[in-house]
Amino acid sequence: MKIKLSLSFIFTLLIVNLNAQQGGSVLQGEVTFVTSRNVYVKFDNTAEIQVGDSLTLAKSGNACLLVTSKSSSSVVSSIINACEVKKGDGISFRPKINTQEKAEEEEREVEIPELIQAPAAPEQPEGEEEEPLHKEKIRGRISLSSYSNIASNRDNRNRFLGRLSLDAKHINNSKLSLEAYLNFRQINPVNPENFNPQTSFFRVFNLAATYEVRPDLSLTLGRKINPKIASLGAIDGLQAEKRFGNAYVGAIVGSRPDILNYSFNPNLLEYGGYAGVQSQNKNFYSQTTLGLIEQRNKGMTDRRYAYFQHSSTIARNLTLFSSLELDLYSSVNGVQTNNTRLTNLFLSGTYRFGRKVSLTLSYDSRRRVLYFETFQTEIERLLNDDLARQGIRARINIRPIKYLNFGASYSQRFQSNQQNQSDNIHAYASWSRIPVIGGRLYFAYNNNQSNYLKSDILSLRHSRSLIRNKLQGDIYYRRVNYVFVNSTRKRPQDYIGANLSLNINKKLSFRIAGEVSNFNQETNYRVYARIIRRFYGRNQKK
Amino acid sequence: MLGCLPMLAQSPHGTDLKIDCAQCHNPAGWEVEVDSIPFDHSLETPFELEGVHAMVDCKLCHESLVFDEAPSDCISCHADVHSMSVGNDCVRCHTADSWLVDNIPELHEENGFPLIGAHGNLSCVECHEAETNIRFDRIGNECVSCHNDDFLATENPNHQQVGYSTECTDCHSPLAMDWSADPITHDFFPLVEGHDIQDCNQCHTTQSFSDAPSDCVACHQDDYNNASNPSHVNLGLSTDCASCHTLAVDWMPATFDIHDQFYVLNGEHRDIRNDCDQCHNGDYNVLPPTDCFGCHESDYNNANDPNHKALGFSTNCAECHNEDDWEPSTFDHDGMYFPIFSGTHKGEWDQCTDCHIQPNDYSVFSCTVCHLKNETDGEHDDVNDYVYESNACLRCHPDGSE
Repeated sequence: MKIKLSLSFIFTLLIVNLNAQQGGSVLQGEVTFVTSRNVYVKFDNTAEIQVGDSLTLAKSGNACLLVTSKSSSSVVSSIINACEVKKGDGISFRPKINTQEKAEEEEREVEIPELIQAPAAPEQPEGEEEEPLHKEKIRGRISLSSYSNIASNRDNRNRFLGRLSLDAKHINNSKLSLEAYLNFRQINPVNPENFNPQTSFFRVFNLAATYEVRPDLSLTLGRKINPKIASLGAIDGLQAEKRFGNAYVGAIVGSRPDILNYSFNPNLLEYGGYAGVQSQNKNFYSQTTLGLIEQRNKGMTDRRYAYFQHSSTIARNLTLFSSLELDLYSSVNGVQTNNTRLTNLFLSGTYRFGRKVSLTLSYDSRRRVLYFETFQTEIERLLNDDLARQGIRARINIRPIKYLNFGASYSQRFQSNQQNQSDNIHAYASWSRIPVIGGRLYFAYNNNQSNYLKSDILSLRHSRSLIRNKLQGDIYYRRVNYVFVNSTRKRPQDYIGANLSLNINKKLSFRIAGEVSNFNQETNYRVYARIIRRFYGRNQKK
Repeated sequence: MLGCLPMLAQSPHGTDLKIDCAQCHNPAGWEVEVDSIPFDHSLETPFELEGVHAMVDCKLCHESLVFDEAPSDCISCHADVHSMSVGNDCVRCHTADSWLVDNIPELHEENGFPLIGAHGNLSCVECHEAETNIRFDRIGNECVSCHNDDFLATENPNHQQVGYSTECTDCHSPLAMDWSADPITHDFFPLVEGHDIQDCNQCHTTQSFSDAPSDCVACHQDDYNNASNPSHVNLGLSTDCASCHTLAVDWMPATFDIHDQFYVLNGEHRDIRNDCDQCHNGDYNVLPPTDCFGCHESDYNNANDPNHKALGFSTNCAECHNEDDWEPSTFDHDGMYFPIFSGTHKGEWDQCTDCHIQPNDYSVFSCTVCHLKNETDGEHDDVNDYVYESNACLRCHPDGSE
C-alpha cells in the first residue's frame, strides 16, 4: 500500500510539473508502434527528452505517456492516465528550460520498474541505432574433491576428482557462446599392480562453441551433449538447429567419442537429424523430438536407430517424460537386416495434488546397446543374453504441514529369466525446524531383496544450521542388516557419520564428511572433502 | 492515484501472480534484494529452493518475468551427462547442494547391490566400465554378471567342468578377503562333526557339485547295507540315518526312538534304554524274548520271599509285578489260594508270615497260629472227622467262612 501511495504521489507531481512547464519549442512526434506494455514514438530528435519525462497526446492535450528509454530518434514509453493511444497518434513534448525546476525534477525522477525500463542505451557513435540483441551471461564452477576408503582389513582406496563447468553465453554481447564440462579423476590404489582399470581419467563431456547465425538458427562446433537427444551422449562435430516458430529441426555430423578412453575418434563417424516441436502457454509446456541417427565404425554401419524424447507439463500439475531408442539395423554373421529392436524405453509421470502431495510413476526397459561392427566377434554371445532389464517405480511425497515431509517409494527390477531381480521399499519422514533443538530430523527405512541378499536399513540423521547461511552440519547413524539367502546368519553393520558444509561466500563453498562403519572384525572409514568455486561474468551480480 | 493504476495493471509477472508486490519489491525501487525479501520460495511455490538453487540468480531459472513459466523438472535446465542410463529423476542420487555424490553406499543399498565386504572399498570404475565413467550401463546384480571371467578361468577346481553354481555366495563368503573358499560357506549343509572331513570329493563324487544330494542314504547306502549289528537291512530300519544317528563320528552314540515299535519300554525297561546290551547282549540281530521269563528267569528262580519256584508262581511276571519295580507287587491270593483281602480274613493279618510261618516255603501255612485249639475244638464238637490241623482247616473252609 505504501508503495502504491508513493508512486501515486510521484506521478501526480510529474503530471503537475508537466502542465506547469514553461519551455522551449514543442517537439512533435508520432506513435509508430503499440504493444500491450510499450508505446513507441518517433521524433526527429530526442536530445531534449529524458527518461522519466511525460509526453502529451496531441488530440487530448493530456499527458499520456511516460518515457522509459530512448534512442536518438525514438522513445519507448508506457501509458499513464488510462489514455488510449494508437498507432499514428500525434505526440508532443515541451522541453523544460527552468533550471531550478529541472533540477528539482531530476531529483524527483522516478526509478522505473525494470521491465518497462529497457537498459539505458550506451553512448553510441552517431548513426548506430541498434541496441545489443544479446546480453553476455557467463557462469561456471570449479570443484575439487577427494574420496577415501580406509579399510582395516583391505586395501585402501583414494579418489581425487576435479571438475570444470563453464557456460558463457553471448561473449561480449556477441553471437558467440562457449560451454565446457571437463572431468579429471585420479585413483590412488595402495597396490597399483592389483588395480585392474587405469588410474587416471580425463573426460570432456562438453567443449563447444555455439554461434547464433540468426535468432532462429544456431551452429555448434566441438563436443557437446545435445539436450534434445540426451541418450546419444557427447557428439564431436557440427550441430545445427533451425527454428520455425514452435518447430525446430536439427542436424548432426561428426563422430562419437572413443569407446575405450572417450577421446576424439574420427573413425567413429555419426550423423543424423532430428525434428521437433516446442509449445508453451500459461498451462502447457511441451517439447517433443524425433530423431534418426547412424553411427559407423571405420565406414561400416555400427548402429542405426530412431530416437524419441518428449517432456511436457500440463496444467502445472502433471509432468510427463518419455524417451525411446529403437534400433533399426542388425548385422550378424555378415547378414545385414533392418530388424527393429527396442533398446531403451523410459516413461515417467509426476502428478501434484496441490502443493502437499505428489506422485511419480515410472517404467523403464533397457537392453544392452549393440554396436554390430565394433563387437562383431562377440555379437552372437551378446544376442544370446539379449534380455531386457525392466523396472517400475512408484514414489509419493507428502507435505501435510509446513515443516513435515513424508515419502515412500517402491521399485522393482526384473528380467524374464528371473535374474538381476531387486525389490526395494523405501520410506522416509522429515521434520524441519524442530522445537527447542532446531534443525531437521530425517528418518528413513529401506528394505531390499535380490535373488541372493536381503537387507534392512534404518537411518537417522539430524542436520542443522550452525551459523546461519554459513555453516551447516549434520550427523547420522545407520543400522544395516544383511542376510544372504543361502545362510541363516544375520550380518549387522553400523555406520556413524557426520559432515560440515561451509559457505565461505556466495561463490565459494567447502564440505567435509566422515563415516565409520563396523562389522565383525572390520572397521572402515570413509572421508570425503570437496571445495567448489563458482564464478560469473562481469555483468552479473552473483 | 490515477497515475499508478495503469502501471499496476501491467504487472510483468502475468495475471496469475497474486502476491503483494511488497513480498519482493520495496519503495526504493523495483530492484529486488534477494537476501532480505520476505518471500519464501520453498513455501509459496512447489519448488523448494535449497542448496545451489537458493544461491543462483533468479533469472537463471526464470528467463521471463512470468514466473510460472519456469520449468521445474531437472532436465529442462540440466543436461543429462548419464546418457539417459538412469532416467530423469535426478533426486534419486543428487541433491541441490552439488552434483558430486558422497552417499554412494546408501544409493547402492536402494538399488539391489549393497557394497559390502570386498565390494565396499572399490572405486566406481572397477565395476562401471563405460568410457564416460558416468554412463551406468546395465550390469546386473548377480555375482556372475561381473565375475563370469573369474568363474570360467578357475581351474582348481574347474568350476565350469564340475558344474559349480554361478551364485558365488553359495561357496564364497562375500566378506572374505579373497576368493579362497576357506571358510567355505556351506550353511545349507553344515559341515560339522562327522561331515567335517575337509575333502569335498568324498561327498561330491559325481564331479558335479550342483547335484550333490542332501539325504543321508545317498552317501551312506553302503554304511546302511553293511551295518551288521544290528543289521539295518534285516530289521528294515529306516534309511533316514538321522532318525537314530547324529553327526557324531563313527555313528555313535545312536538313539533308537522307534524301539516301542518292537517292544515298548516302560518303567525300569525305559531307564535302561540306553544300555541296550542289558537285553540284547550285544547281538542286535537276535531279538530278545518279549515274555518276562525270557529275561527274568534268574530273577524268578532266585526269588524266595516268596519262593516263586517252590510255590509254582506264574512265570508271567506281569501277573504280580509292574515294570516300574519288583515291589510293590500285586498277588491274587484270594483267587488262587485263599481269600485274605476279602471275606472274614480281610484285615486280619499284617504280613505274609502271619500265616506262612516258613518264609522259605510259602506252601506251608498255619491256621492254628490264630485259631487256637481250645476255641477251635469247642466249635467243632459236632463235626465228624475234625482234625486240628491247617490243611484240614483249608479243606473244610476253603473260602475262610465258617
